[in-house]
Amino acid sequence: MKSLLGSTTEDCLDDSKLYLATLVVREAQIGLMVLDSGQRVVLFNDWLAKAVDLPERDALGKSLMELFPELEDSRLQNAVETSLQMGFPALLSQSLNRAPFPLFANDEDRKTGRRMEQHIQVIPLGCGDKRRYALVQIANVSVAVKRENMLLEQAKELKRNLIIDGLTGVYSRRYWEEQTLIELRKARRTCLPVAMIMLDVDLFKNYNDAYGHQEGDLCLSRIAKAAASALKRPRDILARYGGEEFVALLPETHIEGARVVSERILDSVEKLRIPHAKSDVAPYITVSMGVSCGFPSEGESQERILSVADQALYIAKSLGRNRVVLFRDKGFFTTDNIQINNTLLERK
Amino acid sequence: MTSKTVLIVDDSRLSRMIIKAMILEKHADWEVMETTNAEQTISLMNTIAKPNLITLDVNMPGMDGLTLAALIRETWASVPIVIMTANVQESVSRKCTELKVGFVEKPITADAVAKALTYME
Amino acid sequence: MFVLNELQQDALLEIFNIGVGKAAAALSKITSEEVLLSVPTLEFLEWEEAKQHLPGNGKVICGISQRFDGPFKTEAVLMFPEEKSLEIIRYILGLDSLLEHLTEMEQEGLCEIGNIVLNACMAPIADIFSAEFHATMPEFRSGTSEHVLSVDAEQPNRVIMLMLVELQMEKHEIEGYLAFLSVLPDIQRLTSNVDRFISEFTR
Repeated sequence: MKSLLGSTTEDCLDDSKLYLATLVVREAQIGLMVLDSGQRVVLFNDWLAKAVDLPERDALGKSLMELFPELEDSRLQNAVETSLQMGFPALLSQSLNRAPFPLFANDEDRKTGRRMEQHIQVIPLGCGDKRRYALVQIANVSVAVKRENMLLEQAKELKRNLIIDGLTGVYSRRYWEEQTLIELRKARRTCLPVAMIMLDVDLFKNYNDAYGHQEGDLCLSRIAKAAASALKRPRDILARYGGEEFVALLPETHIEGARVVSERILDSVEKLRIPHAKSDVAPYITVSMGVSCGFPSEGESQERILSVADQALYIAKSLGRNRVVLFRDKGFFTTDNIQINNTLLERK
Repeated sequence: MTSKTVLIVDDSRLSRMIIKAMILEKHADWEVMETTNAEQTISLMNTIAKPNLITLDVNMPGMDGLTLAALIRETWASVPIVIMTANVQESVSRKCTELKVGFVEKPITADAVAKALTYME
Repeated sequence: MFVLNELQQDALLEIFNIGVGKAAAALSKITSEEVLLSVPTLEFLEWEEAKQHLPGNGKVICGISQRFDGPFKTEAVLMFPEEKSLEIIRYILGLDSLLEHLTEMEQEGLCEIGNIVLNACMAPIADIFSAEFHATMPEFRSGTSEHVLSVDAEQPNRVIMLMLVELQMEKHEIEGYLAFLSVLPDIQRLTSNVDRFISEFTR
């Protein structure tokens, strides 16, 4: 079957086909503009006239730069020239150009200056000895752009959720694990120590039973914020390890430095004075901590550093909670330098 | 005008033919020598007297023309060199300025060759 | 096997070299980075054989392709490994890498970059032949290089001309390729134009 507009350009269009072609151009739901070799407008369809707010009769005969002076020396002008001179088509993506033409979907957008997102194609018409024209075809891709921005927002949110613990707002265990791997790798090169603090909220089960889970969640969140604010350096991170347990990673930190940080945490949580009627340690919320420090450059692994911190935490709890125990010189010590031996533990 | 010697360094035989033909058309008594890579160029310059002008292609197998220009400069600080290339990146023309060598854009036309010859002392 | 004589091959490489130089300059301008070019290679092969010569090691690559038809007919393709395509477009757009794959808009952006680079490449070639090329809109493809550079599958035994140039962007450790593919009858059209070019310059 022969195409409506003739199978080749040599075919003459009879009047009815020409009429139909004119209608199609006028009614197409896409912007169509034809420029002659002098870049003057010879066709300007209804869709475009409406989006620019300029009737076709006012656009005809004007040059592209007269109509859109802001396009001087733009990629669009360059594309039109390439099309007219070389006969090469050009594509202008929304991502690289956004909205070259002042096109608006409605009056409100026109007032607020929010342009349609545009996908533009410049297509040479006629070649060889025939006079050359350039067809500028503009599609409104605002919907697609909006959809994509939503997708990106979701991806951002998803990534945030992987990094941040939803309940407390401090880092997630997953992120802590990732960072620990990175820091240990660095420490192997720099030969500097890495310290870890394990933290447990004292008698938190009693707190939940007495005040309810909602209050419990709120309490955890306040403790987490107070503890996190006690870390001062940008590479130090506090993460929720699970339940009412937290862990701090302190790169390039000796045991003495970690002791100072842990006492600061103890202090800042105590200062919150969150009432805890069911605690036999204090009338308010307290925490216990175990601190350890290791040299990955001497072969100490993440598991080893963490398990020592965990043992220290266990001892801190055995000694009556609300305190810090640290491991140094092959032994466990309280913050006031008393070495803990088995008899001390048994006495408690 | 006394007779001059021009050395054309280009891996493309056609390019050498065209440059040579265009030089000889205007200066029939000049001597035009040709090499196709860095090694040939250095050994030719070590054995035969230095030319009045060297034209260098950039994109050649082995050492590229810009590196070769720097190498020539180490031994022959004052020999006029002109880079003839289609690689019109800003980084290329900047290196030409740094090395104090001329820069002529390919394709090789009569104008391009005439411009290259202006770099001769 | 179809072979060009030495002079024809030389001329063809030189002509493409000029185009590739302009293409590299265009890419360098978009990315604000120096683009290093390898010496182009030119080979005449059957498609089955050509497959072995394609870069990419069977990995997924992204290609932007345009067909040009004039003094000769060729398919021009700018291609990068998939992860490098992501890096290029996100670097140019200043976006974080949140998603593992190219979004539709990023793909369009790459299409435009390919369009700018390939048009820049073919314009001086058209000038040299004093002729015009009809060109298609850029098309985005991803897959193995075999898929990205696929020729007419119905005639797998045809001899094709494959020209490859390697592009390197050092700052981002990006390696890409410019490839030109033509099938045999068009090569003959090409060589007659090359001969005309040679005879004009070596009268």
